Amino acid sequence: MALPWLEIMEPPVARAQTLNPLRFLSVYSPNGMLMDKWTPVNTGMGYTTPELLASLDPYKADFNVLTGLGNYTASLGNIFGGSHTRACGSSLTQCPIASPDQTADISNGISLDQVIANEIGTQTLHKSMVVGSRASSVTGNCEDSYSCAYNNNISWSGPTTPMGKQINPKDIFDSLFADLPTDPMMPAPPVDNKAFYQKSILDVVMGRAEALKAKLGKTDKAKLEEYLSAVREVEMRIARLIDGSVSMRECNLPPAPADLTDELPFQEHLDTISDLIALAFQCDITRVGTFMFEHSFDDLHTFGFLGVNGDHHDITHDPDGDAQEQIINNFYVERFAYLVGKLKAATEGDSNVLYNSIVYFTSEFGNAFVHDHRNLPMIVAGNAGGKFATGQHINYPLAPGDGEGVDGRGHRDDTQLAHLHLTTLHAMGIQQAAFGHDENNEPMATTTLTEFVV
Amino acid sequence: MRFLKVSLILPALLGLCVVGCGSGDAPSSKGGQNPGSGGSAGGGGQGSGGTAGTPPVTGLGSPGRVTFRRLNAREYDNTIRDLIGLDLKPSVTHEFPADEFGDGFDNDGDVLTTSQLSAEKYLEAAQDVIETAMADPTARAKIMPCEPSGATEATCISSTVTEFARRAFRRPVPADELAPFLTLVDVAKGKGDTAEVGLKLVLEALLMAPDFLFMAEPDPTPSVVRALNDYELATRLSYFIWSSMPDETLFQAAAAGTLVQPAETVKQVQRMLADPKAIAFSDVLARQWMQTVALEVAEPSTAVFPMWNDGLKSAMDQELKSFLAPIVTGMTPVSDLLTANYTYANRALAEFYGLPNAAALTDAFVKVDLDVTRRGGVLRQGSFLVLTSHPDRNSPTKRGKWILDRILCNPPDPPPANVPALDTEVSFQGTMRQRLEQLHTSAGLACQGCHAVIDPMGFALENYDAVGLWREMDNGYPIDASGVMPITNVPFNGAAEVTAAIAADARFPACVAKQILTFAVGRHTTDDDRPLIDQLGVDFATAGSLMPKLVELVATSPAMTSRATEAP
Repeated sequence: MALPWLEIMEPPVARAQTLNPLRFLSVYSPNGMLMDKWTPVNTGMGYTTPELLASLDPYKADFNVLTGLGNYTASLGNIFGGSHTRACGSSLTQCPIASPDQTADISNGISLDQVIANEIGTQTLHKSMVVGSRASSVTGNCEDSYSCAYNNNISWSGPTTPMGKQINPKDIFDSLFADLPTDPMMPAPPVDNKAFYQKSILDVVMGRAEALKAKLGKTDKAKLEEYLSAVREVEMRIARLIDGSVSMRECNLPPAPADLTDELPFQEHLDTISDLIALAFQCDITRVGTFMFEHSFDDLHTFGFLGVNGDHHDITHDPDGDAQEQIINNFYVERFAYLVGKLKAATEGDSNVLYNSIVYFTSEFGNAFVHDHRNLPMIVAGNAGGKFATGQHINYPLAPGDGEGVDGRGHRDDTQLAHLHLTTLHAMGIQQAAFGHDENNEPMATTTLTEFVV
Repeated sequence: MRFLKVSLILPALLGLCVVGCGSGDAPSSKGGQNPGSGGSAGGGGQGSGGTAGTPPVTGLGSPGRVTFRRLNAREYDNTIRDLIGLDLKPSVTHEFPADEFGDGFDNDGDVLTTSQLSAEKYLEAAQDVIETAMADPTARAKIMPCEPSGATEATCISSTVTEFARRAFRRPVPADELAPFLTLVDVAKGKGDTAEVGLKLVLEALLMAPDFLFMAEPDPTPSVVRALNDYELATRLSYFIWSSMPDETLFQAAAAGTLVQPAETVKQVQRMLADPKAIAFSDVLARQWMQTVALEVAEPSTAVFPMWNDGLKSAMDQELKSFLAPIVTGMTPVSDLLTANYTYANRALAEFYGLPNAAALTDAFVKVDLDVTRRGGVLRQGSFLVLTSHPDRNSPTKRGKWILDRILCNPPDPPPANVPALDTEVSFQGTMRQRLEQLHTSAGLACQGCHAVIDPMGFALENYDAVGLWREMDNGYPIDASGVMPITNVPFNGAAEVTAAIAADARFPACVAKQILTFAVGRHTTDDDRPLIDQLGVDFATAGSLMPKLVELVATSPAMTSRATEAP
């Protein structure tokens, strides 16, 4: 009779590799989807693939299509205008963008990815990676005096702080991988004191900020506190690097990608970033990410390379624009399919990164012509390490009636994005009781979805 | 007459709206933000130099409060250039995340945020800047005109750090504030490195400190109105006119305690406007007031406009910059912005516009006279015309809205709730204007209320297509460019007349004042600022509508020289 295999006999390398961590990634594509081309006509397993999901067919068994999810918080506000802005801004936060004076106040909530990053992010070198294709907001008012911050960001570390995005593949690569210890199993002490000195600088600076805080009024203090939080995050990242307390994995790094130039085709730009996400997840540099293919309300990108004239936003409001809109929609779905493929190809143990992830693909609207955010396009790919069953189309019926939001396009009783986000949190091992809040500060969701949870 | 089933091309703003449009006046007040101007407290703030200041002028509302204002990327780069003497542009090489805009400007203290990504980049940049500076003999000598070793080590370090901090924090820094930074020298020595290594850490930390990255205006006494001290005013003035830190002359005026006196302020402002660094202010007017930052990302479709090429973008940008330069120096009045009978062009641009004698020009931008029936003023320059268009067509609504927002400070209300889906079977015919008017009529009064306000000035510019070229016809129909001004109903026919009507509009000078004030103080304006804005508009117009005069008026106004403090 063999002895039980005691834990202490197991070599640390093997032990680290049997437990694959869970990852979360949210991919965002702008200006909705043509829902009649997106929504499968039947539900359940083996649903008929609709036109817009054709490029995802190779991975049909690895994701669920969810239809009928709504975003009630996007409808809250004293005016209709600004719906792209509110719908994008609230997508992962499920909080109303409440600002009586729209240009000045930035007011949102913490986003799902940052909730997860706060819980699990310190187990890796980087808490999260927040990336996209466009950095700048370009001008002041993106939609009816709202700050562009809501259109340009789906990741928020708190109510007033958008995370910002990295857009240059080379910059992303350098940020994530430059400090990587060469031997993941035995991180060497920093030979040139670089990290130690950086931490020392930040400690001094944080001390100075604390002293200055006492001399400031309330609003100024909040801005300084925001700066302090940011600096603290950097300091903690460096501390993790120094003490080697984070998870490490052997990582076969490819050469660094080239610097971003104006000449880089849009498709290649997006796919290169997708490569880096897959690499970062596989190397366990981070377990949380968000990727904005473009900004909400995008009216800047041109798609001449697809034979489409005009801008995406304009096309969504053209009743004769469906054919062109479908080409653009399909382009973004294809980019998501590319990313899914890379995650699936990243093997780990006897599974792969996709299997151990929860990956969203969504947009701020369904039908963009009427700014509909009662029925959103949503794909949840990956199996959360086995907790999610995939391969289905699940429809969440809309609540009866026109909805209560100011613009009539939100209904409190629809199944909300917040319900999905809470489901995701629980699957990630984060037993939060509620997610998001409405205009009365009541939670948007206190229950989770069950249809695809094993 | 061709009858086409044409697209119901909705304006980008889904412009259907309730009856009665137009927000009318200045943006709504942020109630509670500005405590009443009950008394003024002199002094406050830190550092030596003049602290008394003059009491704020009463009767013009509360001076408002600027939120702890982070240097934006542009200001950061300029500040490093002036601090170190090397134009390193760290925000570019280290890819700082983009700054958000507030009310059209990128220096709004409420809107600028600091994320972890920002902090990572600031750290990288600080280290890179100091390493580079200390490796460059000229920059090194400017920072450290001594040797931090042997007998002189301590005094060299102390004097170097004290002087660097004075310039980096934009005020004298007392020894007790510097002491924590100086501990980094011992940290380095503790690791077996030299004092110079430690000194570099100190300098890097100073560039990471909130006193460098933000314009700190501490409020020791809550809920009063206090005058800024000389150093605080120096900082506001230099970022207003130079988008950068004060120079030594300005620091000296601050140290002498005289800067807050209006006569001295005016003298410094005039000096600063004449300095080459004032190009930064001119660039702000072009890129942010006129919004040519949107021109950079415009991509007119060459399929629709085969005569277009991307080089025209930089030419149009330069046209506006050159055009603004004499306005900024006061050689020409601000009204020239709209009604000038000249522009600045190089050969490529002149040929594109079809100007006579274009072939005689070179690559250099020179002043060219214009036939004012066709060109003249920013509303008929390519930059405005292109950035208010879609890639494949122009948008009268975007143009009308831009004018209302940037030139008249009278932005329209947003569209209303419950936008119905449109009947897609309806067909409209005619020019863009005719089709839009038919659309709005068919959708009812709900649309016409706002579009009667937003669209007319845009319709007056219909002779200019999406790449800024003149056309007589649109969609096979002759263009009708007549209309009336919103609210005042002053009639016009065509672009020349509408620009004259806008230039003569009472809202124009006050709007110029509001835009400059917004940028100068780094916050959006409120109802409390209305009396000041109106007064500035009047004084500015009386003084011949010269921009330097407006800059002086803003620089000496209570909104600039004082602040309403908050409780902690």
